[in-house]
Amino acid sequence: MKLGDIFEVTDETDIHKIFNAFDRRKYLYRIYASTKSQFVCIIWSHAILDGITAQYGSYIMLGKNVVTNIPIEHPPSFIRGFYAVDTFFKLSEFLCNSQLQKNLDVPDFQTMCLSINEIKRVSKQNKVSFPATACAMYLSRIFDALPESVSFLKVFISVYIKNSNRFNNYSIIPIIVQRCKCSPLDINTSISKNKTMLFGFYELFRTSLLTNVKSQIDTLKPDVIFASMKNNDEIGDAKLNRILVYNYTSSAKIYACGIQTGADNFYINSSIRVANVSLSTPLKI
Amino acid sequence: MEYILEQFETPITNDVFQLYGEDLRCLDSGKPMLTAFHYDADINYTIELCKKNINKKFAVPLIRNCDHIP
Repeated sequence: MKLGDIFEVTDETDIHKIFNAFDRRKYLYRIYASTKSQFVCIIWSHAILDGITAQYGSYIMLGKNVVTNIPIEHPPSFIRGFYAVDTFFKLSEFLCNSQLQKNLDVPDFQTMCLSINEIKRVSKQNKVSFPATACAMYLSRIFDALPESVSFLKVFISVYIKNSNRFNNYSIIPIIVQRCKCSPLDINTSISKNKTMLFGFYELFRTSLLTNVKSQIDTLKPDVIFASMKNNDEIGDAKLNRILVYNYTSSAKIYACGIQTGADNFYINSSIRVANVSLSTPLKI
Repeated sequence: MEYILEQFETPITNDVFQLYGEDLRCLDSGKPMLTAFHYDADINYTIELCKKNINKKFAVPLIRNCDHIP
């Protein structure tokens, strides 16, 4: 393997053109650096890497300090079976019909930026977790952008869970979010109520192959997958402005990945497959 | 720390990369993701650093070097 197999400097300024030209039969991981538009984009196969591992590899390549993520430990084996059965019955709640139409073949990508200090302030005020607050703020914007007829969303929150191999180091906590109950406290309560489902979900759908898990998730038809990724505030000499994750093939109608950049910016990039959803102009709240 | 290769996993450097008999390059659900790092300043320094780090990583198998896992 040589440098050119994994790295390319380009004049292309359009990220999506780079993605479309990517030959996924030839490459599993490839880095493109655009000198004209000052970005580096990394295209990686989700079949062999999960988000945490991809983030780690990207940081190593780009000379950034790596982020230490601590995975959730599994409960003792005798409880796992119970969680699996419990989750199996709880999943019936998520088989209800979605109120969203997945009608875009190519996702519409939209970026918003929240203030980390504000998320922390609200979290502290309500005594809830950072991801719960970020998710609530994000979903409020989503509900605002959707017709009033959409009264609930099936939301899957991804969590990092210990795994013996490099695949599938995640599970999910599924929650139903009502339009009128979308506060950080409401989201946190729902997460707490369903938190053991992350173990059950893992037991029910676990496999060494991430792609199989993804196809199983698809049968449950999530409206939104929300991922809040941990990061440090290092921007380096090249003044890192933002990190955005694009998901072109998500099973969810809306895939959102939030990640910190710098001291106070929490960028959430949305991959939206629902027509006519326009999130408000990127700004901090 | 290194992972032990899965029993049914062929080495990633082979012409055909398979896991459990499926060629991962051909799975629809294994379509690629894209992560973009946008910079305000000149990224030539980052490019050179990236090249250097890649060459360094080529000294050991890329995928198997997973020392971030505790």
